[in-house]
Amino acid sequence: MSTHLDSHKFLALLSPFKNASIMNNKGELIYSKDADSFKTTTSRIVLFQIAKKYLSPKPGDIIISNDPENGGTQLNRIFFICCLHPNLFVVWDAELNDVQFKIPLTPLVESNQKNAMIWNALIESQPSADKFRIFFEKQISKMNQMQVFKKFIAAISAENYQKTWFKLTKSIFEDHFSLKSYGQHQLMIEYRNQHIKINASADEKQNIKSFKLDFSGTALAGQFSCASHVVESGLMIEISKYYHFEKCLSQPILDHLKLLLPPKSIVSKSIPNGEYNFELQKLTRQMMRHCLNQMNIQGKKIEKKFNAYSTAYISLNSEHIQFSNFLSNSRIDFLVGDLFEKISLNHTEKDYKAVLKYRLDKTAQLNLYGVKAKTDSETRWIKINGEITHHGQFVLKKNDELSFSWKL
Amino acid sequence: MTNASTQALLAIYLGETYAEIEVRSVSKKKSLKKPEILFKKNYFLPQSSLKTTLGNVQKNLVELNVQITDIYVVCRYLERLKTFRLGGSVVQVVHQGFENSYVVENTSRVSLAAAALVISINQDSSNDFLTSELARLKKINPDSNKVALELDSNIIPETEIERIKKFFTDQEYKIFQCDQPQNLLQVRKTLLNAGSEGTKEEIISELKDNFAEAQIHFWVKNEFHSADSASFENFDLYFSSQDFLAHLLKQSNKKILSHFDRECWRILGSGVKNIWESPWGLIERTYHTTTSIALHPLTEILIDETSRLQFSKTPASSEPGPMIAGRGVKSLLIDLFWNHIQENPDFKTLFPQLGNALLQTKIESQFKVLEKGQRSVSAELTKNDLIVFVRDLIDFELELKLGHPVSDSEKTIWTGHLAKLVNSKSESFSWTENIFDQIGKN
Repeated sequence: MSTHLDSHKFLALLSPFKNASIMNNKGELIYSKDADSFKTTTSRIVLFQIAKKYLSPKPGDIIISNDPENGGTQLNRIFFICCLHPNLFVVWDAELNDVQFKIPLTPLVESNQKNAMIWNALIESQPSADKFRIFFEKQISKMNQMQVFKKFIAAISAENYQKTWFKLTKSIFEDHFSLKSYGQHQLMIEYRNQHIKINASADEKQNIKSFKLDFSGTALAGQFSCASHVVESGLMIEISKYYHFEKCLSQPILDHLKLLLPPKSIVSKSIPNGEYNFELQKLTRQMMRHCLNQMNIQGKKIEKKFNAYSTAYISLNSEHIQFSNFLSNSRIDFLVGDLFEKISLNHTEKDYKAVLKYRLDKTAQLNLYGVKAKTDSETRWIKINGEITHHGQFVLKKNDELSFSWKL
Repeated sequence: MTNASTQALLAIYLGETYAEIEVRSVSKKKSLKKPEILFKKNYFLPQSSLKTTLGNVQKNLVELNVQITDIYVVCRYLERLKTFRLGGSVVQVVHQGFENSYVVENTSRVSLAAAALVISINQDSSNDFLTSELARLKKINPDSNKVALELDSNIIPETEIERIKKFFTDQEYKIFQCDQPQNLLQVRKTLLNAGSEGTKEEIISELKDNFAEAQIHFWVKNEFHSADSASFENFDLYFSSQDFLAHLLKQSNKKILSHFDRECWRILGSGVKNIWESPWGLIERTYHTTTSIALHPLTEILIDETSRLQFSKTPASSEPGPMIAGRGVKSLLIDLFWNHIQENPDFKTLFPQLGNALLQTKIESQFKVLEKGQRSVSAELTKNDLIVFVRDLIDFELELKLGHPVSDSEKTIWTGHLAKLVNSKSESFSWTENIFDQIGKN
């Protein structure tokens, strides 16, 4: 019997992953989980479609890719497309900061066997081969762990099961959608001297409920842009959280969400290293949340001004250590570890301050991305060797100073 | 003339929500293999406080003319602190610039100390300065009585640290010293020791109040430690029951332990971890790897805003507890299995009202309300459907985590009073029997 509570089984199956999707052979999304601060819902679907078209994965195969111009996001985020059954696939992503080169769609595992040629070229030839080996073997073991559930995999691969599941999730979507207001809200902001315009509307026509997001009017891409699936992934999560259907985000729901991202605009043109992905995903999510809140204000409508807020994603990569730190509007996750000597580190009221001196002889790669808002520049800043910075790739040498002040 | 009293040992599993207590007569520890059980009972702590519980045990033992010589405690009692901000009465003495330093790594964690109760040391650390600072803090919390010294001997001489320590000792503060204030894992550990002191003292004083002559021993790591020994720290008591289960696993020569108790469902592996991801942040502590099952015995079954059955994201509070305890009004997962467990002698003493027909009717009615409150008849899940689903989901999750089917008992040891619900082949479990086994081996 299929029930909406089956989402708990899907979630258990995906428990080894932060971001992952279960999909069928048609590329329809059965279940989706996005627990990483960077969302990849649509990116995973896009990559699956490309992998299916060019490499037709079979049971026991794992195909990998990280190409930001071809469904991927950043070079250090590797996508895994794994076939569990001819009609069931799991797609997930995981970060390895050492990967700073492009991996096109590549069959890493075929019929449960590592592709020896690929393995040698991609993993064993790396200067930090141990790190690569541990990372990729761990990912492959996740497929083995899932393959144990032969009965469950066979059950959810069946078309009849999927048909019933989609019917259930569609009805959940419609019920949740009906609990919120219909309406429309438009927001245009200037960011990095470029216009970003969003027009959100929730509507029901001829008994069909739909949510439409139109980015028409957004400036054409210059250097600052990202692929449309990057923005779309963030927006999907924002909408599903707002409407409380994140536990059953699946194809019938995606079919009711229409996104219009004009070609070659800031929100729809990929760049080779995907360096603005995090920033644009976070910014458009902030805009989306504002629109949803405005559409659902009870009683007299008061136009509330949109103020973007700063966020920062700091990845640190040294010989044996890989940290991903995150400073947001509501929390700070900043693992100091043994990489730094603490010159000062304190929290008073809602202010969090750190002055840290890098202490290892071997240099560290520091990548810093995020939204830089004008309104909180006094209360939220990051400095490297005394210079305020909010974006870019840096190399930390011994005694270099990283400091931040962040008000929550 | 009165008869000489029987000397006895008391074993207690002091859980988050219940206590299992057993008393056995002994003259010598070696004779434990064929002991006389003088007393055994389970208590549901939300309905009978620790004080009342121990008072009740003591009363029974007086009637039996039994004198307790030693008390052996395996404890999960501190689990209740995990959702609380701790350290409301803890003052931190830190170097200027390091105020509440432990928070910065992860601000969403629960706090370990009151952020305002901080004395920052810069140039001046004189007794006059400390006196005026303490007067300031006493206005914020007049009941502060513990101090965490987070001072680095590379910055301030050891003699100065000793003087500061003496100052607070003279002021009748209990001292908790962090030797490595640069190390945030150590800072958190020190603060957790300070913040947990009250609860540890509560356990000891309640035991002492009722069994004044008895020696108290806590299980920590792989043996019992005298309560007044320095061989363990307060924060170790968060791991007492987990350490005990890990010890049982080790002795069983199996690889995995599946624990299905009345208050937690989890799997212990043979591997160990050295850093504990505590609710208050990372703390250094070696412990056996554990994975919790997504469902919890106190998970609530409810109807959501679209009239569908759902499981609550977090377990319900232990007060008033499940319906089977008599006062609960929410339908919890453990209630779903009331007629599977009602004949179990342990549950009969823990939840005596479970035998009451009126309570059974109330539980059934509540599940009927959940059945009828669902959106449509076609999508309706009955109580029996839920039982099948929950068992199926637990099996599914266990297989994923154990790496083998539940029925494969070769690699797994089963513990907990609800283990039979998941694996019918599992043997009945008693904390106190296992405690007595370990006393015999020590």
